[in-house]
Amino acid sequence: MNSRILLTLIILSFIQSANAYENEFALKAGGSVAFSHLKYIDHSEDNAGGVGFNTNFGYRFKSFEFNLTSFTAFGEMEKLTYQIGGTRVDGEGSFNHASFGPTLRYYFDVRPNTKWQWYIALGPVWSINTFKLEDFSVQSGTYKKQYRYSYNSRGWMLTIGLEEALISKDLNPAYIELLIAYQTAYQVALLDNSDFKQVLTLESDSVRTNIYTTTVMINIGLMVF
Amino acid sequence: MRLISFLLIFCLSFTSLGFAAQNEAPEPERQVKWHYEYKDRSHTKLETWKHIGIVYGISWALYPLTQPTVFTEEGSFKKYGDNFGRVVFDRDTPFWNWLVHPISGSQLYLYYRANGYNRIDSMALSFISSTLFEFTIEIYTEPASVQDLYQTPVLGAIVGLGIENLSLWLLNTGHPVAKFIGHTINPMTLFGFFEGKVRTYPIIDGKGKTGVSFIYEF
Repeated sequence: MNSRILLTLIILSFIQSANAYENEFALKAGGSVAFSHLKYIDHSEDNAGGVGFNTNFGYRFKSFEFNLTSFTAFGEMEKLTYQIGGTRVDGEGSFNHASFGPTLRYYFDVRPNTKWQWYIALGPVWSINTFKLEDFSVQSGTYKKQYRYSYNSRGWMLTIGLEEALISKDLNPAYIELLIAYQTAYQVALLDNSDFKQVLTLESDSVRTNIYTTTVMINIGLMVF
Repeated sequence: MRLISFLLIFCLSFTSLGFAAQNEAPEPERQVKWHYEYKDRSHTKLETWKHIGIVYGISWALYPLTQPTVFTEEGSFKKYGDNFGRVVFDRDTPFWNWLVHPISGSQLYLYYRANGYNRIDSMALSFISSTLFEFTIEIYTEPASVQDLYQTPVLGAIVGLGIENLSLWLLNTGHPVAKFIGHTINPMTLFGFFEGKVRTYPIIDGKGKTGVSFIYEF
């Protein structure tokens, strides 16, 4: 009888400590809710909210996983001041944001009596943000409704999350994570989107420290395969 | 009286049997000539290189054909040299980044799936094919872009998986309209290299038992 209990315990402990996959590629994807805080020139600030999606494609070893990570968000911005060269404009409108970067993820051991596994991931991130101003006032230079304002930024991202510890990745383990990214802009551009299919870059300028973006995202998704 | 009772019971049991038979009658189904599915198998290295080569050749042919204006007006071999090895963030519209590239990535994924690669291998090979396109073909007109390098295979695989499941369901209904839509969204199922097309033969043993036999052709 005791040996049966022992055997059951051994099997259970094996299941709990087993990873859904090891030494394999995996693709994960899900939806996101994003909150961004922007600090811009003239100390103008804005909080932006949006929704989007996140993806991770990577290779998992035993406890470590190397991923190519991306997250995207679409949402609304309130009043901020934008400047590029001699063009300066106050406005509000919509934005789209796309970030990419390599991340290294570490999975902690599965705790007894739980089905979830904690993980933490860190990596550099590069992103592009494009703003379409719906309501704006031009302070200097020329700005038209079909123009877009864009900036590229770079920084770091940190993710803390929970992933279902299942015996196989065919069961599509779910995950929920909190992602925090801090980035500074390095290039701004003024774009002309008059042609639906083609974007013209009217002006491009290098910047270093005058746009700071902090993004907090809640990502929920599953292992696709 | 006994006779009437017997007849009544007989008639009731007969009609109830009839109703039961009517209820148990199978739903009418369309007879399908072909069954569609995906079969994963292992491949030799030579075979994989051959597929990468085929996709690469087709990409060279399709790029000027699908975007003739961009190719002739903006493309040049000088640009090819200038763009070689460069990677930038493109500022393309969502139409390109969120629609065209994921859809073209999905077709790459479905090409490899049709040739018997499993899902993750199909995605990895799509990665290789789209990276080759970005770094050695599209640079004739513009430098390689971060968004295209990542989104074409990754979002393409996710869209491709959805198309894969939906098209199989549509194709296996046997309905001509559903089959038309299934082939349209997943045109790889039309080609001879699609390995999951199975001929079905109905089997009737003459004792009331029926079945379907699947014959794979390689």
